[in-house]
Amino acid sequence: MRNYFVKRLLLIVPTLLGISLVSFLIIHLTPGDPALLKLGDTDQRSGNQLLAAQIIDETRALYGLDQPLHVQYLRWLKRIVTFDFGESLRDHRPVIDKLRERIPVSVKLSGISLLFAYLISIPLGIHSATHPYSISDRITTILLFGLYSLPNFWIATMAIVYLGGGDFWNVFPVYGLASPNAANWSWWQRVEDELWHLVLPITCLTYYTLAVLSRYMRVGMIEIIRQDFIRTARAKGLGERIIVYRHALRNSLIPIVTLMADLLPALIGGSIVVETLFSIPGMGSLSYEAVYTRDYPLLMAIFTLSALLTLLGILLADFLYTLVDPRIGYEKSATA
Amino acid sequence: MMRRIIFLPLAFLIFVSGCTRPGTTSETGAADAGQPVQGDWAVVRFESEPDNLNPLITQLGTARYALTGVNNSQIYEFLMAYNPKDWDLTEPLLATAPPAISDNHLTYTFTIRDGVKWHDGQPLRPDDVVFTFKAAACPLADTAALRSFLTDLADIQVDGRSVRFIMVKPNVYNVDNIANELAIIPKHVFDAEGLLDSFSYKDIVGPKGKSDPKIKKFADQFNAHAANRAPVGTGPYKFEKWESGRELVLTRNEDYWGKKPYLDKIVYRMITDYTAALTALKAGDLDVMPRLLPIQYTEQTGGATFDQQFAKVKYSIPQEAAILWNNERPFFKDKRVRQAMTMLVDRQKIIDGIRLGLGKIGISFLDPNTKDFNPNIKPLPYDPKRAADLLDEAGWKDHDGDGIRDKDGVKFKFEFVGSSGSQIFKQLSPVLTEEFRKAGIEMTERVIEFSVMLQSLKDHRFDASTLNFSHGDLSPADAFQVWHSSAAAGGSNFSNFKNPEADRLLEQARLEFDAEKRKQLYWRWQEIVNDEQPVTFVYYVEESGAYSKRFRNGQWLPLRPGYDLNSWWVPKGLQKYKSSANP
Repeated sequence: MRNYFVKRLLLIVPTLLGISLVSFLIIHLTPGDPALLKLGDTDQRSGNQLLAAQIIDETRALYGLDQPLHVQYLRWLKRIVTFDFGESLRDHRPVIDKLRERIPVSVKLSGISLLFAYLISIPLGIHSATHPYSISDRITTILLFGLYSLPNFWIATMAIVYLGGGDFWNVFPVYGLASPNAANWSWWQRVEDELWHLVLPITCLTYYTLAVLSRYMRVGMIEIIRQDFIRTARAKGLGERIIVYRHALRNSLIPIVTLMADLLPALIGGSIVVETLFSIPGMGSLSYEAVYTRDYPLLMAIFTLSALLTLLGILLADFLYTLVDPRIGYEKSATA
Repeated sequence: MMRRIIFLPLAFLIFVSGCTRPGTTSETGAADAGQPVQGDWAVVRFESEPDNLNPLITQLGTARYALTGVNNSQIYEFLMAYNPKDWDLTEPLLATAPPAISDNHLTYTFTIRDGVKWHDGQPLRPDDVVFTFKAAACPLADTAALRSFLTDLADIQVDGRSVRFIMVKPNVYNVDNIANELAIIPKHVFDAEGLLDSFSYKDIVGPKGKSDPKIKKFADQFNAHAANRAPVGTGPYKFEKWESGRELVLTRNEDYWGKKPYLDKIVYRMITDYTAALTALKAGDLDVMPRLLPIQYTEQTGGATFDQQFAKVKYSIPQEAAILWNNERPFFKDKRVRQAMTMLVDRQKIIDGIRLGLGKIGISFLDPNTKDFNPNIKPLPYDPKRAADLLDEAGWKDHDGDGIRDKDGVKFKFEFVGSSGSQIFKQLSPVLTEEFRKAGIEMTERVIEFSVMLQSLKDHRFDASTLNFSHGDLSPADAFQVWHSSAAAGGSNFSNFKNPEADRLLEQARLEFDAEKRKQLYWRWQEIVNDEQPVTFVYYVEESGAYSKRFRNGQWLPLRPGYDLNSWWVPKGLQKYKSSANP
């Protein structure tokens, strides 16, 4: 088993290499040229004749874009083995600094929201599954489908208009993660302030995931509960609590564990919608900006990082399978 | 030499604004009362975070607004500014007067103001001016956008306090290119080691510029310099702090050489979403919201409570929305067809329906407030009947009876390309499709990303498209790079407009130093463009904003970004922020 995971870990290296090559090609072969974009203000490409062409060439040389693609890729690879992601084309700051600024914000947002989503959805799903078609199950089903169908940009905008002061209730702050004067406050006040700022964005991030997850949980659980071994357990006279939490729950967690593979990349992925609406400088808006301005080094860093986390996430999920279901093993003997 | 013209996707969702300067009208909300006093802050909404705070490198409007304010002077300053009378570039700033120009229009001599201090206490020297131009011209510096203004500059010489710029060829717009494009930056900050000292401007633009290790070292340092995030300027406001993604704070420079502004601080607060920003304004977190969405201006900013606290402004900026026709396509080759297309576009309906009234029918490439604008030109009317006649006349008739016009076996079917995220494109497209369908023309739409769209426009791989022309100022200097036939290959003449007389007029205008004669050339040129209709000018953009009524003398200049905080002040009793406290 340990061998298996060591092997899997080692496999990540060539896989990552492959992914990085493909990403590199996609990024560089997409139409749009950062040097051209630099010739003007954002979105401008002011035209001119020969001299403009010369300026573009100079700028391409500045970014090393004048080299053939394979040279550029090898250069990138050479840098990356020392964890040097290069400089952003936009402001010449090291890419790693920009990521360092943004990742904690996104991890905080996504982390809390995912935590809530799992904490609420699993018990909710279990409850629905153990009381199928009861009034409470029907109500949660309708409610969750309702939430599932509401786009979060709409919910967020409504929350901003009605709860952010202005013409209606002034309950929550609607931009950023801290009050403007928070720097002068005590530690505890700052924490309280930040939590207060987090309420709306977290809610907008959570409800959708929550709706999806609890449905998965419910379906998985219902399926298990109808199986023979549960009937056997009941026949043995075990209490309902033990049946549900010891025998059924672990089996029904498998689909949820599968979803966990996406967990790690989701943590740093960020959400463009929520970040834009609530003016939160996270990874979502950074990635969007990077695409928009063709900031190649930054894009590559984001792609590689997400790829790495996805691979680790899959590995983690595979490992968790063995925990929730002892029948799953990765020994040679088991598969032979 | 290239002028700053910006092509914007029509009302982009996350609006990235350019560096346009003069606009047009302005209104003042709060009445003046009493003697201006110092104190209080202005908290202004920023819709996007600056990319960096180096005026030679930045590409974002927000950075420029913070760095050089509304009229070339805030943290950094230019050599010259616009005068508030006719918005000509005649107001001296770091230069003591407009330049002395040699008879052959090749040498421009500026005298650099004495007694000006950088924010770190060092005096401003003529060397700083030369250094600024050297840094901008450096091929390895990330200054591509500005470098395009320097292509006609041959050399710079210093003599005492005067700096002489020697140009390659005469051009009416040479002064603008020198005094109105580069904010002067401190040499002692950006080149403390004096790496560029041993090189003249000529050296740097020459072959040495690309190869010399010293220049390369300078460029690398310059591109990533710490002062790119903490600028040291000469202007009326000093940089205080920049909290990434949150706010940018400036404080008044008590040692300013000129007239000191009244507000203690300017706080630019980053709020990316328009709804959140308006909510923040109403909740008192913001004092100035420089740009409102049309729906916010007409529907969401009213009522007794709002009017009691806030004043609203409407101001126009030199920017117009246009539909580009690819003049090389078989159906758009004939000017009668292009005229017909314009007559099929109900521009007033578009302004009323989509811009909610914020705009004026487009007439010409020049803003109506430009001195060279030809007021005799009447926009073509919305007239589907006359359009149909013109199409018939041009030979585009429905020969095979399928409801779509055709000529020589070519059907009048074209694709209208717009950028993703452009709200107005989404609203405009169905209106046009319907209008054209009724006239027997089939239009399909395709949405692509803006930078990809620009690439296809440049390569003329499109039938029709739409974007905003956003001008750098109120001069027609940028017309050349958008309309001259030579700019069709690799330039900004996207619609492939080629007209020998129009070319000649543009060439002559750049060399005509007599303002009155130049005006005649531009008038004639506008007549030709109006007759040829290479594009359909849809509307001139008007913007709207709102700000707190506690400000007195709340002036909005016809320059981007509008608000002129240098003149705003708050009576003692109404002051909201004390300098010691935070807002």
